[in-house]
Amino acid sequence: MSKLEEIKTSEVSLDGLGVDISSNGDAGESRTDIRSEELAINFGPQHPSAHGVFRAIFHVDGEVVTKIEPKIGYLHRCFEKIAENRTYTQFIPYTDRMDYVSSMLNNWAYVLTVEKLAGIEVPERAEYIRVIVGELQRIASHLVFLTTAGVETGAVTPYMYYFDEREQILNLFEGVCGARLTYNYMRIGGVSADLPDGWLEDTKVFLKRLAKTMDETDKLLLGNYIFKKRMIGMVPFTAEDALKWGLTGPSLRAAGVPYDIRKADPYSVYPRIDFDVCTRFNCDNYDRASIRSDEIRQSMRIIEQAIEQIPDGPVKAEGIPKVFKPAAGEAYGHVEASRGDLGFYIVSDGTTKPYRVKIQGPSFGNLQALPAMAEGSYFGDVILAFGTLDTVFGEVDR
Amino acid sequence: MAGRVAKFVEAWKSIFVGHNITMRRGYSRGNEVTELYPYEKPQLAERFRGAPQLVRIAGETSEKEGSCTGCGLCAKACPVNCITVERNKDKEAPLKVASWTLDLTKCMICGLCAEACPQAALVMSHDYENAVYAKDKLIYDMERVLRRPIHIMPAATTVSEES
Amino acid sequence: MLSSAQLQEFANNYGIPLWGLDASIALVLAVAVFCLCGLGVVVLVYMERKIAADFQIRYGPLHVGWHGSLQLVADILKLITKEDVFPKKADPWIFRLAPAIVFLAAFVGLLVMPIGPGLVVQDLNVGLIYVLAIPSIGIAGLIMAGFGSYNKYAMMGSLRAAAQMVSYEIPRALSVIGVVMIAGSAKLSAIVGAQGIWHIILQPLGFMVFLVSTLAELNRTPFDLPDTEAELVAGFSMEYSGMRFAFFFFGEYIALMAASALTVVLFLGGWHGPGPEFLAPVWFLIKTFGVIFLAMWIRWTLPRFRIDQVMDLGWKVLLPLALLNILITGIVMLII
Repeated sequence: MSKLEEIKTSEVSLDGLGVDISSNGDAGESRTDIRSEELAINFGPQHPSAHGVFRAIFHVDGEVVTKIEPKIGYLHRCFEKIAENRTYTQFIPYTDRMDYVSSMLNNWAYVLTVEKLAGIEVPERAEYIRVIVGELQRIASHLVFLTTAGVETGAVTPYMYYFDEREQILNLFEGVCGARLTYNYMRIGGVSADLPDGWLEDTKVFLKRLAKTMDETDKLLLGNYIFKKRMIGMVPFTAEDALKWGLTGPSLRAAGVPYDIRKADPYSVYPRIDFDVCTRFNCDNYDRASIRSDEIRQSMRIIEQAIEQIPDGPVKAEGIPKVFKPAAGEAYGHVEASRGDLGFYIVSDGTTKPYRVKIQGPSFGNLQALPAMAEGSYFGDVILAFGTLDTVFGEVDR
Repeated sequence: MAGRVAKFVEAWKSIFVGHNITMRRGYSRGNEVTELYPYEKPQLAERFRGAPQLVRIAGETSEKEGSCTGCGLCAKACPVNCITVERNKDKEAPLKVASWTLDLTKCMICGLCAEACPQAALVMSHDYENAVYAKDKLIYDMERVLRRPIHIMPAATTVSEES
Repeated sequence: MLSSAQLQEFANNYGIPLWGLDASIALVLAVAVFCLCGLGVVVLVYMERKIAADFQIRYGPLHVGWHGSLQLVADILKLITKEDVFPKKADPWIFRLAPAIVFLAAFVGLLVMPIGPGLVVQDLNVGLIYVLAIPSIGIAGLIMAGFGSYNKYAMMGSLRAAAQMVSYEIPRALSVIGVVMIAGSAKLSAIVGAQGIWHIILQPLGFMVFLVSTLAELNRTPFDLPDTEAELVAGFSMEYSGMRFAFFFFGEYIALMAASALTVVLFLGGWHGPGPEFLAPVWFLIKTFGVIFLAMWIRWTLPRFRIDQVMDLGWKVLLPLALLNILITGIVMLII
């Protein structure tokens, strides 16, 4: 049992608390006697909690948001069209810039699809390296998430604690591929370079350190009474609605649906690794936030096992020509990115450049549920709901 | 009533626990994690990718063009077309590069050019302080690339060797 | 300090009317307190930055002056040179007046603080009522700022500020009634004088309610609803720039100082402390800064409430607790 679960199970009246808040959170009933004029507030794209460049028009009645009109597209960079004019390898650095908080997983989703398209077998060591860096990336991304969840509720100090840990991950990544944000590490048929000497030991040391910090910050932020009171029971979403609106990733699992592509459609070496799919109950703000903390622990488990199991060998498949020309055809590949189901659909016409690349980003799917989810909630809760959906605008707009 | 009291106690407990943690983290010795950047340079990883740069190997290659043969594979590998290479037109002379230009305003430092170089003449340097006052200063020609502080490194350590 | 007889003689010798003398002395003292306030703000801002940095495992200001101690001076210079942005549709008078009102309302609270025996600008008989009532004018300043700047976020921020501060006035005022009952006076120096045993021991419940509602009055985390940057960007001070903004900023810190001093006066024994009498102001300052540190520690640890929860806490928890405190104090005093 993790420390977080202990905190939660030891609590005396969690259910009562949830009911208690949601009854006064349902502000719709009590304001029938006073009618006031609705105010349309322009939220973003330069708002501090716009998570990039989200723009929405919030119609507020007092403190209650009655209608949300999202406007997206401020970060649109035509990546799908660009892909048609780049060779297969040349597009890899562009995928870094989609979901810039978890570039490594974007790399992975893309090269996985291209490998599927060309029928390339990836060496085992490369697969393990991918799992290790991918899960480290997931941890880094979830740390950013927890940071923003904290900052949006006004707890600014956990921010530094989480970012300190993320910094260590970025240092590890810098050691392995030379960059701290846009890695461009994965290649078709493997990864660009083998792990440096002593890197796995450094990772182990880091995992120990992270476990300690997570225990601490779980108490400081997720276990805090005010944070709980602020989040539990607010802006819930049912599992049916979540499925209908196409939520994926942690947000869907927070609603209790144990859908994880690592289990549902296994890829790479995940079948050989033992880990749990974390789920929560009613997809409220707190569930969406705390499930990230659980997933960080699962990722740590995965990395530990992968480090145990990693074999020696080449890190790139043999016989991939410099001028890479997959046969005409199409392929769809998806991975469990840190925000959900990240899919690539690539159509090849037999030339060096893809005929069409369609990217299906989890952030976009998650974001579109925001109006359905959050209308009728308090302004502050809408911000938190938007924050806990964990959208990254590089991926929404691409 | 008992539930309320329990909630009250729990609330205060969680608040005290939080304060304890911030106090412990805050006032433990040498806790600062900030890098004092301009005063203390960060420790770069060996594979750090800075602006691309032509390599000159001491004693082996010429001062003027390094070991670049001007084959142009880097320019082809570049996703953003920021590299322009020209070979010398003279058929008699050995294959050498005539001009090599890097447009750092476009470059996204992905490292694909260094990977494509068959001579290991092009590497990703460790230069990260690339800010200038005028944009045209970011267009590096051959002279400029070779005049910059050069990391003279043996070809074996470059990334492209491993692939 | 001169005695009143000496003053009278002085006034008679030079033909100055007595009221004029009184007025000029009061003015000099007020200016002195004002200057001390300025100094206090410098210290407080530096302290807040350093403490925040400590809790957040970073350095904080480091380069201007000794360990960054002159950072605020640099900031003020920057703010003075900044363009004074004036929104086109803003109400000119209300917009201009608001920062001054907030600043003054915060400042006047300090005028009645007894920092040592006899060391007080004006020891009012109704000092306690004065310090609870006059700084509340600041609310008007916040509403004016939000209303005058013709901005929706600012408007929402100021409405939140109004709702929150008005609600917390009541538990705050009620929580000190126990202190007044024990001390038998609303004169601040008398309250300090009555604290052979600190009131925090006699009035733990009152102290708790007072502390929480003071934090809410100061708009500090966990009650910083009026300027939640996650929701309202900058709240009521949204459209202000340059020195106008600085006045809000200073007002906030002076209010913090005044509130901490009041906490010390009411509950923490004021100037009392071991050692000779001339150390009294030192003890007072140490205690005040202790309370300020506590407020900062709370600010850099806790997340904030939501607006309806803030209201709930004020009306449903703190108000009954404050009334209960009065009841308990009354019963105990009746028995003893």
